[in-house]
Amino acid sequence: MDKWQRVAPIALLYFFFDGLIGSLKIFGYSLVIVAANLDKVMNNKGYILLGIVIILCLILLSSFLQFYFFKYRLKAENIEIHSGIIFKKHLDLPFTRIQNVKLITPAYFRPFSFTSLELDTAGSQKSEAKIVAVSQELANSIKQKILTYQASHTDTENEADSANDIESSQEPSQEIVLNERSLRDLVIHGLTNNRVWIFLAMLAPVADPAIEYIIEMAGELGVDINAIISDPDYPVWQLSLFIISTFITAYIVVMLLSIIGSIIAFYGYTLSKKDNTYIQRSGLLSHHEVVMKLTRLQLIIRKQDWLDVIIKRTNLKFEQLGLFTQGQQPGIRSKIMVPSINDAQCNQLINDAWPDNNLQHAPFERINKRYVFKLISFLVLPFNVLLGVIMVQLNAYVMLPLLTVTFAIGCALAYCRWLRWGYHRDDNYLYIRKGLLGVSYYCFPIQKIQQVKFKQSVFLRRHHLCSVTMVTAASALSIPFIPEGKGWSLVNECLHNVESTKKNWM
Amino acid sequence: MSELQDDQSPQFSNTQVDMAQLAQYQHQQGTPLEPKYITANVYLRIITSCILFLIVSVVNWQTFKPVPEDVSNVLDIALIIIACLGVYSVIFGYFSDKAKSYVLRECDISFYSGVIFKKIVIQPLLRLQHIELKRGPIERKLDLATIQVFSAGGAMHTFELPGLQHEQALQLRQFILDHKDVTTHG
Repeated sequence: MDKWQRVAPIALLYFFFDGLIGSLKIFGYSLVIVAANLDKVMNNKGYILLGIVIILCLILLSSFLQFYFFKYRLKAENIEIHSGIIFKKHLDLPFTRIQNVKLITPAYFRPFSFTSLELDTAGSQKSEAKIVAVSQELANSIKQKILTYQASHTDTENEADSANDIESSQEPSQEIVLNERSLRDLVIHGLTNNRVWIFLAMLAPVADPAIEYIIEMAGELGVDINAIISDPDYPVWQLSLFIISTFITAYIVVMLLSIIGSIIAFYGYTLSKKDNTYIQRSGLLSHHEVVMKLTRLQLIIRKQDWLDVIIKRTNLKFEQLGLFTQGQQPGIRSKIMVPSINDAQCNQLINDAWPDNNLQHAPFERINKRYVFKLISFLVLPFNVLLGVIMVQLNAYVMLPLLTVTFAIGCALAYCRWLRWGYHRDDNYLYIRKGLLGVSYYCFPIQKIQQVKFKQSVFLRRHHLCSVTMVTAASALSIPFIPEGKGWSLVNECLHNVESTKKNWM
Repeated sequence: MSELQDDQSPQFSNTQVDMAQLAQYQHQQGTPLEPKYITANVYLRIITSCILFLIVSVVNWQTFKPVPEDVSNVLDIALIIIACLGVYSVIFGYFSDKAKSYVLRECDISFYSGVIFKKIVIQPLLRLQHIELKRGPIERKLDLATIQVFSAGGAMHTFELPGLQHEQALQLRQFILDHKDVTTHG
C-alpha cells in the first residue's frame, strides 16, 4: 500500500465530466452574448461545431493528463497525493488532521462499483483531498484504516472517550441502522420543505441567462396583464380567476419540483451508527456518504416548517464544524440531516446522541415583550412607510387603506416571532427555541461553547435588558432581550462550565 | 463530568474565585487601549477624509475638462456628505476607541467596546486554536501591535485586540500560549 499508485482508469470519466462541467459553467455565463448575436451564430454553424469538437478534445486531453499525473501513496500515518498538470500540487495529510471521510459516488461511477473518497481537513477548502475513482472495497478499507488510526490516537487525550471506546471495542462493532426513510416520507419532505434549490444547484451553469430570460418573460407577461386590466371588456371575476389559477399552477409546479428534489437528495436514506460514529447514506443520482464522530457533534437542530408543525413532522440536523461547508452545497454534505421524521423517532435519535439532554421537556422561558416593539419599529414600520411612499409615487391613493392591513399582518408576525422565542439552560445543555410560523429547537452542550458575547444598547440598558450570543464551532446562536441579571448569570455560568470542566469540544 | 472535576480540583477552586468576583464582573474596569493608538487613529481618519475630499473636489473644480452641470451638482452634494461623514467618523471614532478596553483573567480574555451598542466578547483561553500578531506599517512605526485569537467558532468570530504596545503584545501572546489549558488541550 505504501507505493505510489494511480487511481483506476475510470478516473478519466471523472476528470472528463469535471472539465465538461467547468467549461459548461463558463459557457453558461457567455450564453447571454451568444443569445444577443444569435443570427451571427446561426450563420457560422460550421465554426461553432469545430469549436465544440476542439474544446471536447482539449478536455479529453487534459483529463488524460490529470489522470496520468494523479498519484497517491498511503502510509502508516498519513496519505500523500500528487496532482496537477502544470501547477503541481503535493498534499501530505496526516490521518489525525482528517476531520471527515466521505464517499461520493457520481451517477456515472455506479455501474462500475467505483467511488471517490473525499477527505475533509481542518484547514481551508483548498487543502481538501480527494482520491477519485477507487473501487468500493478499497475505499472502504482506506476509510476503515483512517478511522481506526484516529480512534487509537486522538481519543487517548480524552479519558471519557477512550473509556467509551474500550467499552465498545469489546463487543464486535456492528453497524446499527437507526433510521431509514421511505419514498412516502420523502414525498412528505418535498411537500413541507422547499427542496427546489437542488434543481437550482444543477442549473447553476445556466442560472444567469435563465434568470434574465425569466425576467424578460415576466416583462412580456406584465404587458399582457396590463392590457387585460385596462380592457374594460374583461370582468373583474375573470381577471381574478386568471390570477388565482396562474398562482395555483405555479405552486403545483414548485411543489412537484420540490418533491423530485427531495427524492434526488434523500433516496434510499439510511442513518446508521457504528461504535461512536454516525453514517448517513443517501442520494438517487450520486450517492453521498457522510461520516461524523459523535464527539464532533456540536449542535442538534429540530426544525419544523409551518406545514411540518401541522402534520407533526420534524427535520433533525446534526451539525459539526461549520467551517468546511463554505462554498459547498448548503446543508447536504458535512451535516447529517434526517428528513421528515415523527416526534418519537426524533426524540429517540436525540437521546441516542446525547442521553442526558432534555430538549423534549425543556421548560422554555420567554424573552422580554419589548422585542415585539423592536421588530415593529425597525422592520414593520419602515416597510410600511416604504410601501406607502411607493403607492403615493404611483398615485395609487386608493390602495393606501391597504396599509392598515399590511401593518396589522406585520404586527401579528412580529408577535408570532416573539411567541416562538424561548431559552432554557440546565446543567449541561443550553436550549433555544425560535421561529416565525415554523419552529426550530437548538440544543448544544455548554462545554462546547467557543466564545461568549454580551451586547447591550442604550435602549436595552434603560430597561435592564441585554442580548447574549454563544458561539459554537457549528454556528453562533443569540438570545435577544433577556433581563440583564439573567444574561450575566448565563454568561458567567457558561464560562465557568467551559473553564472548570475543561472538556474537549471535538 | 464529576470525575473530571475531581481530577482537577486545584483548577476548580481557581475558577471558583472568579465566581465569587462575579458580582463585580460587569463593573470591572478594563485596561484601555494605548493612547498612541487612539491618537494615531484620529489622525488616520482625518487624513483619509481629507484625501477623499481632495480627490472629489479636484474632479469637481479642475479646469482641464470641466464636468457637466448636473454631474457637478451631484459632486457638490457628495462633497457635503463626505465632509459630514469625515467629521462624524473622527468624533465618533475617537469616542468608540476611548470606549474600548480589555480584561485578562486567569481563564479568559474579554474585549469591551461600543458607545451606544455596548459589546463584550469573552474568549476562554481553553478554546484557542491559534494566535496571530498583526502589525501594519503604521503600527510598526508606532511600536504597536494587534493580537488575533482564533477559535473554532470561525473567521466571523475572531477575537481581535488592537492597540497594544508591541512588547506588551508579545508578553500577552506568550502568556496565552503558556496557559496550561492551551498547552494541554491545544
